[in-house]
Amino acid sequence: MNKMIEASELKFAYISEEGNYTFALNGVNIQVERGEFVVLLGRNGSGKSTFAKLVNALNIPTSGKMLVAGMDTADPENTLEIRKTAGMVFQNPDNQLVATIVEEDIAFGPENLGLPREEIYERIDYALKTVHMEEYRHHAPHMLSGGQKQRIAIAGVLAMKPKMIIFDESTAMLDPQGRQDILALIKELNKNENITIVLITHYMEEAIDADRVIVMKDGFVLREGIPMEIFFDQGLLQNAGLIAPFAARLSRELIEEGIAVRPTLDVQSLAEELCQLK
Amino acid sequence: MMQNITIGQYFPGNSFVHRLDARLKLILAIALIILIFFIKTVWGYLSIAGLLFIIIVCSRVSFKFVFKSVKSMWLVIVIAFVLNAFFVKGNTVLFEWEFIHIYTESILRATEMAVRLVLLVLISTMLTFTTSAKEITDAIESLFKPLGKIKFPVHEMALMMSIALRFIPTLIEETDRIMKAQMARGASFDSGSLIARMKDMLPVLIPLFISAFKRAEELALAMEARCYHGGENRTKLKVFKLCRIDYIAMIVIAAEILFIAFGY
Repeated sequence: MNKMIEASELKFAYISEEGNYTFALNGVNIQVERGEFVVLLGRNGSGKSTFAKLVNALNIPTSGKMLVAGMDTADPENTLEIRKTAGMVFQNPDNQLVATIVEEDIAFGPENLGLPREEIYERIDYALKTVHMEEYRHHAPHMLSGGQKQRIAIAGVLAMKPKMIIFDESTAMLDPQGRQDILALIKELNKNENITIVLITHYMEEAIDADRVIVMKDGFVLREGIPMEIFFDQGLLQNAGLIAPFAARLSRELIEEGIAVRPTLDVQSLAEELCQLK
Repeated sequence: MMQNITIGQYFPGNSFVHRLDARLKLILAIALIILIFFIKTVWGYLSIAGLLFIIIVCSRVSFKFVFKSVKSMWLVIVIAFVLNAFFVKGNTVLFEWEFIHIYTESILRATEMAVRLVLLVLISTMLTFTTSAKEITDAIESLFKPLGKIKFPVHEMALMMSIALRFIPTLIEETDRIMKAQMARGASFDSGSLIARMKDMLPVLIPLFISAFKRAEELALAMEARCYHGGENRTKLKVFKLCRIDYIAMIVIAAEILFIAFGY
């Protein structure tokens, strides 16, 4: 099974108490391959967080189909297995930690899976090592910084040994340093642990190194493609209400001014190229 | 504001006090607290104080924090002392002025009350300092398990308790933040009558409640995403098992109980 996510004609509506349907997804087709690093971009209300909740079987599609590693999320029999396969990290680190000690929080997932305690301990070791937080094992989460808390939240998901992790704006509440750290960790997880990543974000900079970028608007997929394509498509960005990363904007404007640089998303390589201009 | 609360805090460690079975620790602590009220002689108090001293030293928790948590209860202790000193009647008058009569007995009684309270705070402090919230709630869950037979939701209650404990610092921080935000807009929380002050708290409590509900909703989602599906088929990281140190602790406390029971 090489497809982690197969969403076809996916629709989802929130139903109000009066019985009114508000569609957040209007027929979305998204596929994610195993081992991919996919970034979902879009403004507030574009449906990207709704999509994340559908992947994790936290919501069930109103119509259409959502398969996670081949399992249909609409079948309650699959729910646990799906949540085990596709972990999820949310935005506010404070609201996803359940215990007063780091170690106990990471154990929460494995405990729910009913694993024997020796294995839980092994998984705590593995998870803490992977997020580089070994020395915080016995600390209280509320004493840690936002970035550290988010690392613990990631460790809690890793302890379930997921094949895929969905990050639902997990960097939005962090300071720039914390954000950078978490992004670096996410890339590490993708490369070293071979975990499929679906990253939902407002920060265009986080999409630069993605294998694929999916742009959403009003519950539709507007476009998908590699970052270079997406960030140099002015019409698309304008339509989706996004602003390209700094290096993309600068290199495009320089080219328009007739300065011979290559279009790039990487600030560093742009700087080097500019230094070599005569 | 409330940053220096020490009650309910936990100091991780690996001393034998930390390693004691949490269920046993809970029972022994309750036994000791009850025992305090049966002590009749100074020797009885000294023996319990000595025992607590040994426990504190062994736990390697710094005396500073232990002292701090007793200090946070000073008002209660002082009130208990004063009330007893003024209202307990005795025979030997120590001091007399207008309508105030203070007897030797009342001073003794008041001191005894204060000592009892200090010991009580010390015992409960040592319990929470050396046992994490999760361990305590797990212990309660395990001790109350038989109630599950009559459909009492033991696991759910324990989980609710541990989450409540987990969110105390978060909500305190939040209260602090909301108060500062209101103060920045000219609200004051420390002037006016008691009723006026309580009214002033309303604009703090409303946003606090709204945000607490939002947090609860998000937490529920996060827990579900982490495969939480009730107490069924759930394993525990920490399994309770009585070992040698537990039996030793039991014997020591039993000896203490006997000592008091024989009239000390």
